[in-house]
Amino acid sequence: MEEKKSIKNSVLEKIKSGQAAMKPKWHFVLKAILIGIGLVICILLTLLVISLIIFILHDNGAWFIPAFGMRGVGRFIISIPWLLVLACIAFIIVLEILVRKYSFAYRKPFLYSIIGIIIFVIVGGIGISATRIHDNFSRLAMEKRLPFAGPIYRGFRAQRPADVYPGTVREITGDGFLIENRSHETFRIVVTHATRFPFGSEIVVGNEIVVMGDLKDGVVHAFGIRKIGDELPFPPGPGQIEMRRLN
Amino acid sequence: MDANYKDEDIVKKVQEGDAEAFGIIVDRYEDKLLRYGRRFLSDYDDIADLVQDVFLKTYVNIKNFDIALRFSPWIYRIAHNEFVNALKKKTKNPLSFFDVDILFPHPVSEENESDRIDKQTLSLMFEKFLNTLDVKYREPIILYYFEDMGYQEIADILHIPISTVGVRITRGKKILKKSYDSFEGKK
Repeated sequence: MEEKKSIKNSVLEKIKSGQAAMKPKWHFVLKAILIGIGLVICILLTLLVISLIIFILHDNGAWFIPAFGMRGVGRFIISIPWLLVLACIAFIIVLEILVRKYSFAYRKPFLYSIIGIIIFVIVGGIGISATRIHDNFSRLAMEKRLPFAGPIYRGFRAQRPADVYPGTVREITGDGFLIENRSHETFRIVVTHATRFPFGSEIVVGNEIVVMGDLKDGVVHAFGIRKIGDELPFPPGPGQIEMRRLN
Repeated sequence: MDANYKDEDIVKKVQEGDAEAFGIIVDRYEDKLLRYGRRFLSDYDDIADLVQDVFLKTYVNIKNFDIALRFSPWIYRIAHNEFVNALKKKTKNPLSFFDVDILFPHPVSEENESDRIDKQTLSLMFEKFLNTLDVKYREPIILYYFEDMGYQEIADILHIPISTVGVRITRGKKILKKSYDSFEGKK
């Protein structure tokens, strides 16, 4: 009884003497707004980083090479900008921590909220990568007119996979064709009987293509070739290739 | 103030500046929080000081409480944080409340008919072995059996998934039953 009295008296005394004062409503509103802003910034950064990863892989041609088999898959894995992937994982962890402050998240197993976040940021990142935002940023970066992120774009453009050549077909030759890349460099591509065409071999002048192969004496001996317009995740069957040729 | 007033009505008065009304909150929750603290921190001497701090923190942050919600889980959440912090200070090993239980969904209760324990055995088990149980199992058992909280309220207090509450209570009871059975076997 004594303990009971003393707790109540002590608490009320501290309140009356001003030792314990209520924090004003705006303090909590401000805190909630700051958490909300942090959440939005974190989401935007994650979306930007994921779309930048997709842009880099498209830009250097690595996105298209897994279709060339194990060698393509291996080169694709090496070409992934792992620093950006780590940054993306860090953002996702921060997002999860922020989201788990809300009852809709902590009442459900961790797996649900993390999968939900991953699906959301990947779909959002793919959506942003479909816009021209990174093309524009990249152009500004090359012209040295993009502050902060400029070195990121220039740095990743300089780190192209050694045996991947994206470019536009400028001329068909007897044993292959000539392609020109975005930096206006021209490469002679030689097609051999071993060259892989997972999406069909009908290549015409003006096609944007990705060639994977070894550069010897100024000539690229093509290991695999595909058109950039072919966005299917897996190569079509022989029947589908035949249909494309007929079209 | 009338005893029929809901906690949330009293809190509204406090939020509007009636500091005396906070005395009613202290009256209503003091015994509950002291009991919760004694069971949670069984070998802790200054439970009354901790409970006093819980009330002071409740008052300081009371404008953050949404009166559309239930007050009880909110004050228990503050008490949980206070007790966990006290435990962290006391134990050398850092407490980890993150484990695989919260990672995956547990759609089906792990308890089956053979696991059911009669009330008398349950109360003997709690009396003798609750203190020996790991905190992560002990706390949901205290809240469920001694504080009459539902799974969702416990989830809101501990910030863990609702399904995990069930898993921890069931596992905690199984561990207690094991201790109890081996104790009975030795007798």
